[in-house]
Amino acid sequence: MLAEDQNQNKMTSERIASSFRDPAGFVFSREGQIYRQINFVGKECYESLIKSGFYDSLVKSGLLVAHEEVAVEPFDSNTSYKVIRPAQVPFTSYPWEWSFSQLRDAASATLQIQKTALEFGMSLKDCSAFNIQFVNAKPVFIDTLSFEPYREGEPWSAYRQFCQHFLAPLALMSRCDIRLQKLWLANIDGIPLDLASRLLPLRTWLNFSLLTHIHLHAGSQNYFADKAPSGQSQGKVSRNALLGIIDSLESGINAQNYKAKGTEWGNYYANTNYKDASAEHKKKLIEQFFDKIGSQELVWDLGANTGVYSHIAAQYSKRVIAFDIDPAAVEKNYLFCRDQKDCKILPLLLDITNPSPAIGWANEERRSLFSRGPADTVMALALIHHLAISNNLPLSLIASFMARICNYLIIEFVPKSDSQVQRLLASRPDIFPDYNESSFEEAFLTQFHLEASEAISESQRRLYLFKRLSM
Amino acid sequence: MKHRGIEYSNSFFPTKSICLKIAFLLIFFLTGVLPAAYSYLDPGTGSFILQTLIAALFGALFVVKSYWQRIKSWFCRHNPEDNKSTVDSEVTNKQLKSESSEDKGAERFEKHAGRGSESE
Repeated sequence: MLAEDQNQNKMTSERIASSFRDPAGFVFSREGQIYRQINFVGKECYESLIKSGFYDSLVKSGLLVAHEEVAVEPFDSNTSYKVIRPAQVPFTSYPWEWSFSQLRDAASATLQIQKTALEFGMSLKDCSAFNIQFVNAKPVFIDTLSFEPYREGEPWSAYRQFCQHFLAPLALMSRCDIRLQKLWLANIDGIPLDLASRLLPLRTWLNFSLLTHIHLHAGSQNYFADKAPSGQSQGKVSRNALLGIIDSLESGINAQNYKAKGTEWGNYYANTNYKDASAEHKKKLIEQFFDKIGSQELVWDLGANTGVYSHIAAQYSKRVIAFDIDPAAVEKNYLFCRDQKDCKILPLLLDITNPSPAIGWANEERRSLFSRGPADTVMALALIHHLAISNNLPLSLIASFMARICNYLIIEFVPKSDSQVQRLLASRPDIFPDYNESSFEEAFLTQFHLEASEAISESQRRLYLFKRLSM
Repeated sequence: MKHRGIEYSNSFFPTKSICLKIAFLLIFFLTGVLPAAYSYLDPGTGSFILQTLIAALFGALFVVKSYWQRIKSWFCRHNPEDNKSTVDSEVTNKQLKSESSEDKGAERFEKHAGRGSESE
């Protein structure tokens, strides 16, 4: 009977691919739910977290994901001490998809957690940016097993990781170029400090925090790289020293800034063919379409800009992911959402012509955009010309791509006569004879059923509501 | 802008790497400390040693700063408590409760619900 149970268990449960580093436990999924198994190895740390009152304090302040202990079959009963069911994170996102302020807020939340941990005699044993997820546009720490009892005098084991995962990318984005965030994709354990030190401008040597935690830190790593540690003479880091280091890291984080001005779409709404009446009509049409399809669980707004239409979608859905390619637009959207109570929109950075890939061990550790979908509904407003004209994508490929990522599709067709398309064609020959409304409809009708379509008043554009054929 | 990746051999100033080596050789030989690492996560020997080297300075700065803040708050007693919580405290608990409920369909938001009125 046990063997049968275990077989059944294996069939329905799956260990999460990224959860392999910590012997204290791991995360697995079963029937659409995420569980965390706490191993006997992690018993002491988990019990300290709960009994010290630290867990209650963190959950009360919203910094840690809440969980309940559940009596379900463990994934591996030989090693299991307990199984907990954390509050489910609605959508997993990664640091290379976050705006500047999302990464900075994640860093601040991590330091705040470490400071609180010390008050309760605990300490963070790692500082991975992947331990932070955004719930209601706020950073929440999701790894319940990242804590250990604090041992006075010991250096902080997560210090290097904090600098690589937070301080270095933030400094590079702030002091060099916002696009250097994409270095994450080539460095899954954060930006190597020697690389950050080499790329940062010389004037950052005058910033005490960056001098210490990036430049000297990189030098120290380099100098001691081939020297084995010895237990004979141990250096001590007192509690006050650790608090001082945390305080200095906090100053370093707060000193990094990014002003979201001069966005790619900055004056988009001012420069389009839209009159106020057109914009209003477009909003009404989107509302009508959502009325028609009913409330949705997950909406992806591709090319969301600063999220004007994402907010309409949010009224009709449980969760909206507002993707855009422009870091400034995502930043503005995030800053707005962060100030809302229980905001259902998560703004993320994404180039839809080159979506987030699966990376890490066995190409499974961090998931691709596709594997985090499909969405119930995708909105692609004023996006088609960027895909078809700027990226030379045939309409048939765009249609089949959309059919892979959604059930319902709200899409706007922007004709060649539109000034935005004319701008794209201004400096290149028009090699798109098939880019017109009828070809567009023909391409999409091979994948979708047309539910509704209407011309947007006082413009040459048309809005469509499609439903995927295989539904 | 500086020219990255190019080091001029006849430069008047010593390069960054030489400065670093000198600084670390000095500090290392003056203190001569090497800590032992216990973590499952490799903290990097250099990262550990750097912490032990900067510990005294940062500890002292922190103590001075703490006292200074105490003095400051003594003079302006009306400062409100610094509430650093970044997330609404009910968010995660409420979410957990709502997910425990059996009928997930019932939690779907009303079609015409306005923003902010969607809880529960």
